[in-house]
Amino acid sequence: MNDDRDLHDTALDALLRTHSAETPPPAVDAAVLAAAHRAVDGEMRARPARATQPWRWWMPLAAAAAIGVVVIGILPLAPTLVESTPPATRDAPTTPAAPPPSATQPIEAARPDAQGTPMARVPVPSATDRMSAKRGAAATREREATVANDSAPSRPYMEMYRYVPPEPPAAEQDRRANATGAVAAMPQAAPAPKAFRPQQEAAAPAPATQVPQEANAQPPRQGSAAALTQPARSPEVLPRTDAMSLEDRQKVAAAQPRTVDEWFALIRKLRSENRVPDAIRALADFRAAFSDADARLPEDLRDWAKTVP
Amino acid sequence: MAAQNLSDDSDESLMLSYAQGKAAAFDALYARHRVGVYRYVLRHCGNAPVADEVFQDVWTNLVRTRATYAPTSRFSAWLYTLAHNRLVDHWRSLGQVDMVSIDGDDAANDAVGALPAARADEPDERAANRNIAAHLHAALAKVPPLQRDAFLLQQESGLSLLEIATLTGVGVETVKSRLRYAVAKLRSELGALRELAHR
Repeated sequence: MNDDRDLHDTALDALLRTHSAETPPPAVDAAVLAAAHRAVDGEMRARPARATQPWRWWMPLAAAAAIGVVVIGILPLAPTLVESTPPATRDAPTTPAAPPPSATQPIEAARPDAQGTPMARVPVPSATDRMSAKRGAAATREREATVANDSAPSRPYMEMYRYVPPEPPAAEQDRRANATGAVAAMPQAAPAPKAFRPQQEAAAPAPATQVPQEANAQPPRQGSAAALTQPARSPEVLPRTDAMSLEDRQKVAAAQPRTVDEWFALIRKLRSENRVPDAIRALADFRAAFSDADARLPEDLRDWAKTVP
Repeated sequence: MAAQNLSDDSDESLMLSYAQGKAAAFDALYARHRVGVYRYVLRHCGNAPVADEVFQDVWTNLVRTRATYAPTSRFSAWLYTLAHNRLVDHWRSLGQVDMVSIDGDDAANDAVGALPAARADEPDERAANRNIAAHLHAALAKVPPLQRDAFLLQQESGLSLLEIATLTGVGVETVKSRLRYAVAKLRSELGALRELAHR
């Protein structure tokens, strides 16, 4: 209490309050207020320009975020679209002693059979084969794009392309089930599967009707009945290009006639129905499928084909 | 209505409003604290023109540093810290690093002469008040600077002992001691005037 009394003196405080009339001069008041208002006004004028600054820095941030979202959203889907065939043996060097892959050799011959035969190496196509395959794939893509975009080829034309294989006899199915990679025993004229099977199914012992790997891209050998009768492709053995998706390859595989005779029948039918654009397109597809297509044409079509560039 | 709202606002919210660009908030703050800060400065300087300059600098510093204001303590503590620091700078510029006494300074008379009278009705009354103010100023000038600083901070700012201690950078007990000495000195110097004030 004594401390408080020593620190405060009410009489002194009253004396100071009563006789303290000092105030800042009006000029000083005006100067202080003017300075304060001026500072705020200048700040308010500078604020709109400053408001654009956040836009400058968050724009790249937003762009980076958008790119990140797109990458994260699409990358998980990419392997399922591109990786449909095992790439392990694609780039592997071929054994020099091994014979060149035959057009009639199915890819399933390299796969383990039901009895646990060790997995053999899938034949790797040569550089020439790959080039031919790429050319065939490019032609197929072009044809697919034309089919999709052009109104000339009608839907019935696409339907006519679709080939439905005959059901193999039961005895033959049994023989296929017992076959252990005996490619030679497979029927040469066996049709390809109608639709593309996923990779997991393809790893299982394949039916003997699997098609040769590069038949579409490699010229058939003279005298080889299989080469003449099996130019068709299955999606598994179609040339693998980055631009060609699995779905595209499925479409190509499903839309191709499988035999030369079918090509001829198709072209003849289209011509007889006066569907010349479709017939020309079918001829172009036939030429894309066979490098010696013109030589194979029968007499009735050869003359007409000479008029088609 | 807006002026009424501003007058109800605390010093801290007014300062924040001013920092955000509301000039009217500064007007309200200035109206509240201009007299106290001016007296604090004037009684230290003892010279009205110098006090005007220092006073203006204090508020200019406040305007300049408004963006850095954070309401971690009372606004008045921050304001009087600015004033105290400006006074220290002033004395340093004069080569008086320590707070100096203004004993025997003619400037004290100048400051007293510049004071308006408390009551301007009667010339005699005005002269009497002017005389009392001169005595007050002379008595304050006789108080050692550090003790006077503590006393003036307590009188004009209304800060607590702890706030004064924080502001001046000393302990609370030191502030108490300075206040005790300052009050004792002023009592002895203004004994007769105190009797008049009591009556």
